[in-house]
This record gives sequence, structure tokens and C-alpha cells, in this order.
Amino acid sequence: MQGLSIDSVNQSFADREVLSSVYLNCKIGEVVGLLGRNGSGKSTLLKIIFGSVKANFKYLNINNKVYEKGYLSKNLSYLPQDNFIPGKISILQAINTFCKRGHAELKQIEFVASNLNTRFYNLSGGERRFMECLLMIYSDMEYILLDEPFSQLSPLWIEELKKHINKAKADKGFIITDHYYKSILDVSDRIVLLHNKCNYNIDNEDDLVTHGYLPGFKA
Amino acid sequence: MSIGLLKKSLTVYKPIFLWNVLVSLLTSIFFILNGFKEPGIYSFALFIKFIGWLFSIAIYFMFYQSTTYYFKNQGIGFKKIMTNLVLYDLIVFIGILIVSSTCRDFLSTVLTNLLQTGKY
Repeated sequence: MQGLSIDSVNQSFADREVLSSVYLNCKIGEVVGLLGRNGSGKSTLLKIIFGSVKANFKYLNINNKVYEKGYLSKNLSYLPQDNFIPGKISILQAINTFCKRGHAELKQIEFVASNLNTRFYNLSGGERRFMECLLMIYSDMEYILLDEPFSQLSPLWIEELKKHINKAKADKGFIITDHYYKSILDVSDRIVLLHNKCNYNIDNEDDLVTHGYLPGFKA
Repeated sequence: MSIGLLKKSLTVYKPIFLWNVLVSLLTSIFFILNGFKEPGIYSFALFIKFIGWLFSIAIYFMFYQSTTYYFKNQGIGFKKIMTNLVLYDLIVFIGILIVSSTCRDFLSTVLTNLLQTGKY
């Protein structure tokens, strides 16, 4: 079956175990929201999938092929928490690098169209983040990992990003993590919570309270 | 070897490329002064070149945090970037050696004069 899945993820830092037998999958046309408290291993899990962090153990399968590092599949994009596009590069150059197929859609976006020749170091922090998010959403890869895409963004741009994710998901699979959990609930088809080193499927907001992600649980 | 990757690498890793060219120029001075007649000297020159490449890896890791995802998002990892940079550097190095051995007499005169001017 076509899709991205990672199974039996075990990861520890020094003596502290962060992830234990974690499983996560994502299909084309699906947005998977990944929630969890600070330090629960959300970013680590995304980095393990992408291949920039080596797990103690994992089994990664992308479109029926096993990979040691996800990025080697050339079918996986990852938006890290920090800026990753060198400042010297212009928006147009970045579009030509990452979005050979989706460049027309990107150039229709007002902000992109009016800043095509602007270099990344001339953009503000929020503008840079917005642009990097768009580049990953419209990248040529089938699976997109977004680590805190909504941070640093104004509410208007958060809404616009959600619109673009919904538009692009027709032929892509997304795994998104962020602390703006309401935005994650809005945009996701399925929610997975990382808690106590394990993954839990979440059906509604009450489950988030039950598992201790949101305040208000009384035993 | 990919010219496309070289262009991308040059945008981001210009300091590595410049460093390697500097080391190549320094190494070629040994060849100009002593030619290929003294194995000890050119072994030492090649050793310097090798150390230069190790330093390029160190320079790569100085830029690692800000550049690694730019390349990994294109499916390009550390090994591919460094192999490409070293291979192109070898071509530049061989080019410098060919030019310096062709113009050896001229360069050795200029270098000797420069060294003597520095001395007095």
C-alpha cells in the first residue's frame, strides 16, 4: 500500500527514553496532526522520519520501500523549526529549487508574486517562515513534515496556510506538529498524541483532556 | 559529479571552496620550488592538501545548522556534497599544478624575487 509509515521507534537521550515503540503512518490525501507536551518527542519523531536524527531503532517504509533516512527517498520534505533557506537565495531561486511542479500555484499567491526577486535575508522573521512553509507545502515531494509551521505567524497567515495545506493535500500527505492545537485540530484529518513515550489516537478534544494534554481532567 | 550541485554548493559553501583553492595555491608553491624531484617535499605538500580537506569538513559543520536542511530537502546528504566539492577541488588543484609546472621557470623566478624582496 502506498503511504509513509514508521514503526517501532525507540529513542533515548542519555538515560532518558523519549519514544518507545511509537507508530505513525500517513497516506496521500491525509493530514495527520501530531500533538504532545513540550519534550514529548514530536520534533524528534519528525527528525527521525526525515533522517536527520538516528533512532535507536525504527522501521521506515515509504511507498513500499524501506529507508534508513527518509530524505534519501527524494519524496519527503521537512520544515524544521528554524530557518533553513540560506539568506542569499531569492524567493524565485527557492521556488525553482523546491517547487518545479507547483511553481505556478505558488506564484499566484500575492505575497510571493510581489516578492519574487527578494532575498530571504530581506524578509522579516514571519515573512520568512510563511515563505518557507509555502515552499514545503508546494514542494515536489509527496510527503511533507511540518514542524511548528504556525509559530511566528499572524492569525491571517495561519488561516492562509491552512487553506494551502487543504488545497495541496489532494496529492500529498502531511504530518504537522504545533502548539497551536486548535489550528492543528482544524486542519487535520486525524490526530495522534505523543504521551508517556507512546502514541495515542485522538478522536475529540475530550481525549486530549483525558490524556493530560489539555488542563481540566479530574479523576 | 554534478555541475548543478556544484552551483548550489557554491552559493552556500563558498568559504569551503575558497579555502580549498588557497590550500591548492599553497601546495603548488612546493611543487614550483622543488618540482617532482624530491618525493619528501611533494608528499608533504599532498599531506597539507589532505589536511585542507579535513578542515573543509570542519567548515561544513560550522554551517551545518543553517544549511543542512536546505540540501537534505533536495535529497542531498553530507557525503554527496563533500564528494562533489572534493572532486571539483581536485580538478582545480590539477589545473593549478599543470599551469604552475608549465610556467615553472617564470614562477620560480618571481617567487624567488618576492622572497628576496621580503628578506631585505
